Amino acid sequence: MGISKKQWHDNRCRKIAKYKKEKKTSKKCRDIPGISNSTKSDYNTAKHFNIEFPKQFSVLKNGEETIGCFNKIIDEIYKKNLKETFYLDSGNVEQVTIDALAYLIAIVNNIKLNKTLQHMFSGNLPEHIGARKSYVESGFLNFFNSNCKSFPKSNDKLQIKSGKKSDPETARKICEFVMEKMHKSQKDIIFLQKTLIELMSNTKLHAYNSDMKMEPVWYIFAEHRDNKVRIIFLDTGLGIAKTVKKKNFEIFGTKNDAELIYAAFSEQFRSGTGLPNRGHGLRLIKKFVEEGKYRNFVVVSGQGKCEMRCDKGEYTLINSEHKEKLYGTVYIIDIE
Amino acid sequence: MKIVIREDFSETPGSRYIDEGPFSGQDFRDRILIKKYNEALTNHEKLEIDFDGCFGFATSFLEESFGGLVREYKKTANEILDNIIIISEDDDTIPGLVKKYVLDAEGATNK
Repeated sequence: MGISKKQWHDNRCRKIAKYKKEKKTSKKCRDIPGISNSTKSDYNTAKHFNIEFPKQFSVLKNGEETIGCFNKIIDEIYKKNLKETFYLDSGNVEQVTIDALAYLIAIVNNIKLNKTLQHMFSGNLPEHIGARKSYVESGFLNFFNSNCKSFPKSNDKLQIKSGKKSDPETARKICEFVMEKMHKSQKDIIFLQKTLIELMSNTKLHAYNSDMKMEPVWYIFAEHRDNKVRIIFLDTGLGIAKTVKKKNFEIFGTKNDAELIYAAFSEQFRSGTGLPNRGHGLRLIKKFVEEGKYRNFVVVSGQGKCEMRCDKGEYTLINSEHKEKLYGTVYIIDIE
Repeated sequence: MKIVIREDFSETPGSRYIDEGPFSGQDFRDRILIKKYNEALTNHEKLEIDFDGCFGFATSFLEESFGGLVREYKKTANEILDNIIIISEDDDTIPGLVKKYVLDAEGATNK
């Protein structure tokens, strides 16, 4: 007695699935394109790392711990390793600010774009409901595969966007968001479009070099909270402090990172290109702070943090240093 | 002769060079500004450039557009400043910046 058509079909499907599984597990290692003159023994493969993020996950408020976690990932990336697996443990996070989320997305996304390294990332969301909501509303999950139930989109947050070039349309969306939330006219926020275009352009021109493992991408995010709009702009490149020092060593060789950041915004600094018609952008941004257009303008890069504030017409500058070095530059901009 | 940047070019001007992104100063200068400028000169007219209604002009955009007329097209600062009229009610810093960039470009070129 022969088997039924259904049984034949089921057997066939099982055989195909088994064959595919066997083919997958017996896949041979191949030489990675672009890496020649090396042997398999030069590389460690398939290492696993668990990165646990702190309860207060914030570059601005808990820089040392937060940046320290990022550096565990980045330091591994810059070793000669391939195919590493990182588990990003956000389970214990209770307070999170968007600067940390945006930076995390930046590292992971920029590394994933470099397909030579073949690193894998997985992780979890916070158990704390407020922190979990912040993760989801920021657009964090847009950068990962997730079967997590999503919260409705928040009107008070513009989801994280990224780009490699100057993007006037994205800058415009940020401006329109500010106009809507802060009841300002287009004329009132001209300074913001100028600022964002300058930052995007600087990222493309100066932030990355060809030796870097990360893709040259900027990230931007805006959030309306507590009667102000906070904008985060960042890259994971060389860092503004390092760029200033490299291009102007005879003037700035002995300065710390916070002083170097401030120098980039001041008259002392020549453009990173060295050309006489360049280098106006960051000075203009400092002028906007002095004029009160920005309530706070904070720059974190390397081991330095430079906070420029304008409160009731009074301009203050606070420079500070931290032990952990941030790769790249994070700008935290408040408009009231 | 008139250029209304919002209509003839873009509401959202970009950065300096074409390879940096869309609506750059280089693109504006080479595609629109220099043509209208030369046409105005030929017709013995001044060129009006209306900056209003846009989302803001990065310094790099302005410098490459107008300083670039000196560097790339060998125009003199006096000729440029005598033959353009800037309309900018939204941003009163633009006329001063354009003048500065044109003069600085000529100064750098003459060195």
